[in-house]
Amino acid sequence: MKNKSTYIPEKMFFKGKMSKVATYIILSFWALTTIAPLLWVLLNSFKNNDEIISNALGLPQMYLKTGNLFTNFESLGRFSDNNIFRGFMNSFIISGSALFGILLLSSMAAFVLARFKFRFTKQVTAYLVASMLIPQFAVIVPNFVIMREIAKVIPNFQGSYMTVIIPHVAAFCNFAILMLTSFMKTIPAELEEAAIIDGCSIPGIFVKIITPLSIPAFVSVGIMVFLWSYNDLITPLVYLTKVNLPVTVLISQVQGLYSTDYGAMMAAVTITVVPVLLLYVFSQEYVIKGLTAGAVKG
Amino acid sequence: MVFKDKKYMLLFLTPAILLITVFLYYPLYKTFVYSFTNFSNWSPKFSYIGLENYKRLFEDPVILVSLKNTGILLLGTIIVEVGFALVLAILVDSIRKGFKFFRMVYFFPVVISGTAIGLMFYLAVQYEYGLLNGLLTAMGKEKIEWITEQSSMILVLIPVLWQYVGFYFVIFLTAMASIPQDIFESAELDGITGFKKAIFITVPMIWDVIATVIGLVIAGSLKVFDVVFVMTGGGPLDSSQLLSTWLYQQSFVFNNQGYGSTIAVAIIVLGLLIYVLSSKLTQRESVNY
Amino acid sequence: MKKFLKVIALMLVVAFSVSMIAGCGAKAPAAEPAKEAAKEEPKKEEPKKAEKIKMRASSFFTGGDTWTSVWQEGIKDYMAKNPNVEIVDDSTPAAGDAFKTKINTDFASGNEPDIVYGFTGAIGKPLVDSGKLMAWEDELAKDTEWSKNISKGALEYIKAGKQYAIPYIGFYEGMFYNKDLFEKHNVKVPTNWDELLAAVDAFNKVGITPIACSFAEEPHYIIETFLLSMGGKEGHDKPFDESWAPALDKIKELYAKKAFSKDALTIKQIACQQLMKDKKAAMFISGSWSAAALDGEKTSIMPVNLLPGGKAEPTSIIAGFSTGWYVTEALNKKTNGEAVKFVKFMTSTDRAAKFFKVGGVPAINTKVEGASPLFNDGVAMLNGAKVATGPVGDTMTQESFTTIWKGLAHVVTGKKTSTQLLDEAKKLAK
Repeated sequence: MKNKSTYIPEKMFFKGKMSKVATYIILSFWALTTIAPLLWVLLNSFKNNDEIISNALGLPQMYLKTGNLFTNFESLGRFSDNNIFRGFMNSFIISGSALFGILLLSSMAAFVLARFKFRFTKQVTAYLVASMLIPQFAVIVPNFVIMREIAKVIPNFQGSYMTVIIPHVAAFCNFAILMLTSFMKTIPAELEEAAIIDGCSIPGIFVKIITPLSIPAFVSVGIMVFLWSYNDLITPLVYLTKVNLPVTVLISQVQGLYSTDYGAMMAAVTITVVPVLLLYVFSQEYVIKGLTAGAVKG
Repeated sequence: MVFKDKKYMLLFLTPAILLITVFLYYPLYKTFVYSFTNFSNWSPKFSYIGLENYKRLFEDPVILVSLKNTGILLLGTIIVEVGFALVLAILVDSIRKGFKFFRMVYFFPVVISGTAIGLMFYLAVQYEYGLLNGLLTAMGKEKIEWITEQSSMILVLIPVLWQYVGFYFVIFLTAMASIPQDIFESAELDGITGFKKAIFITVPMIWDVIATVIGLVIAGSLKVFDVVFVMTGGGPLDSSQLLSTWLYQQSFVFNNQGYGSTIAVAIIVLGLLIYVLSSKLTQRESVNY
Repeated sequence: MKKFLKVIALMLVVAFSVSMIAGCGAKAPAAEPAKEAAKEEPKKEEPKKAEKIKMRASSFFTGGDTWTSVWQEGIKDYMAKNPNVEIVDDSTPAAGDAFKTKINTDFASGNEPDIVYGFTGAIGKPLVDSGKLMAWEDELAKDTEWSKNISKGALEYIKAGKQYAIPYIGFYEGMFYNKDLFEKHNVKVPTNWDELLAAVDAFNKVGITPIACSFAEEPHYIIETFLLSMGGKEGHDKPFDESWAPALDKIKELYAKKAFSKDALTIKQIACQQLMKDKKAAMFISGSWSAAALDGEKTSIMPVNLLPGGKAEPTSIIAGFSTGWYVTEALNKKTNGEAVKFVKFMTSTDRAAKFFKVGGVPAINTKVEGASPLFNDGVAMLNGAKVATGPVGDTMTQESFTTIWKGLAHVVTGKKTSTQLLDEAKKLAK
């Protein structure tokens, strides 16, 4: 983005002053579509059913009057006897470990694809791309059988975090490998040549040169896979026991319950979305930089 | 730098490939096997029934609807998602004030789970308590049933498309930032500006990226599930059924895992076909700069 | 190889610090590296007290379900009474097939819980077929102090070859109607088809949904009650009886008369319940489980035997037991019968009284006090029924009945004829 400040006015899409206005109108309109629904949900998470209909767009009033603005959030507590915080902890353990596993395995594989003279690079890439097409539901049932086999060897395996972490690593590392490979290809080779002359081994190069230089890509790919893992519903739902369920699954069950508490549903959406939004806002520079660095050179 | 050491090659590549093989390709193989059986009700007692499920696949009217819907989704994502993302990226690339703001907020929907988005939109179009009907009532108008057989596919298409525009937008934006400035400057001298510049310079310069994105879009659109599942569940009258939602219903609601597996096989075959076709179509000499 | 281990160790450190930078909560990844390195090492169990018995209990009593609090209270009380037992509540909501999916896949994968309160009949068949369930016959014979309070009829009703389930909460189906709305708009509560049609017209005129029904999620009860009304017990119980097609056509006739809400094809079942509770709908064909969510004072229930030319005896209803307590045999042995003890605790008369105070038809001989008028109306309808039969969905393969209820929307909108739909379902009945 370094050229931004040096070369701005001429890049204008439309001509003249009107053009600037038109550009901003279009951009603001799309920004409105991405912000408004979130605001609507946030506002309504502080209202009860009647107010959601009668006062769809206004500020919450009823709960404010009764003095308990967080009624909906409190009623979320009813939806499970584990508290929501345990759910958040589960989410972070699962998605954090999955993220870790993905980055570890993917960076190793990507290093080979980007830097080694390997006869089957094309085939391996195709193998990875094709694996991205496999639908989750096709995998779930057969994976049960594999999990059962593993559980025979390892006690306490069934229902543990690992039953979700492993499938997540397998399902998302294809994307990570492809993105990291194209990023690593952009790393200048001079450094490695110098390192070889200094007598550095291949693992040494990977650890001391490639890995530190790939950190921007790690962060951005990491955030994408973390989000996917965090937002996944079906794998944790079927593999985990209730105490180990991540927050998104606990909360998603609100919708299917025997009540039509729309305020609580809004609160449910709010409570799952806010942490990841914050996470994104604070790390967005990294996401955007690294994420695209991969695709661009791909 | 090109390394050749076979030992490390295997050591580094094997774990990831092994995991993908065991937890993605092996299940896929099992799915393929199940597709020739009458596996149902999760009962371990099933037998091989030859091509019965495939015969049923070709006779199933819902498959036709979901193929059509998957096609609409594909076209929609390629034209609207990629198109919007491109236009927005070109526009944002041309401004200075608010650049970071737009880049941040456009990515918001990507961060949210499909389930939450589906729920949000469902709450908006719901008949009795929905946002849209709430507004209509406030204006003194009759409530409308938004989700009908005709409208359902369009209604689910909106959140699906909306969700990922920001993702591709950011990819395009960064690609544009890496176009060397002197190309624009010389174009400027030749009097090429605005719209023409976008078509004749920006787009060709990032064509590689566009092709990559189209590949991602295709893989993504065949896997669209949660938004549709939460919003309409494929209905009404199966009008918004996709291959993925129909697969889920056959396996988990009708409890016919054999037929569900057959649909899964169809998804993969279709995905590969479209993928090969699209990479043939988008293939062209990359621009060197 | 040694060198390689060093590399791996280094990479662990690097990747670990990366995941910290990613800001995903320092705690979470920190706990995991060792685990990841060892790949498939089991989850660390805190070895508190080695002798503690740990059991997992699955049900659909969670969240907003009617019985959630009494279920949770039951577990808590049991653990308080037996401090050496820890029960993990692994409940999943019944709506949206979440419970069914979870429990079926649990049994299919060998991850079955110790105790299940779940569905019997066709929906429970995968559990029975798994061969993992304990049969209760011995226990029932041995402990008569406990078993004498369990209804013999209910036991017989959910027998699947052997007695795999202990019945508990039973149900009936019927038509709920808002008495106050009928009075306010001066509409006669229907006793025959013409009066039903008249009521539909009358409520449509005043902008009230005549009948709340979700064709998208649960048209099961309108199908079952209409089949019963048209064919009587014999017709209803005989799969694909000739009375079935005309019964479905009657639903179509109602649809054409705009008897259902405008969004009947997409509305969810809980939203129908809400319409009924908010007095936006006059009638609602559902079951006893809905009663607790409705207006207990001004809502009543009646049998749905309104179809012209129907063979049903006028008091006939759909009723029965479609849920029960399961225990897995191997795990019960492992816990030395603790699972059975827990079920006996939950099905004891005092505990049952707490459950049925909330709602449902008791299979346990117990006294329920302080019930709402609607609850009493339901019991009166049940006791007054000269003929009762279980829902047809329990006697067919799930795939076949799913085809019927999912296809009903196609019939009422005229996309398919009822005969076509039934033929389709028949093919899947096997």
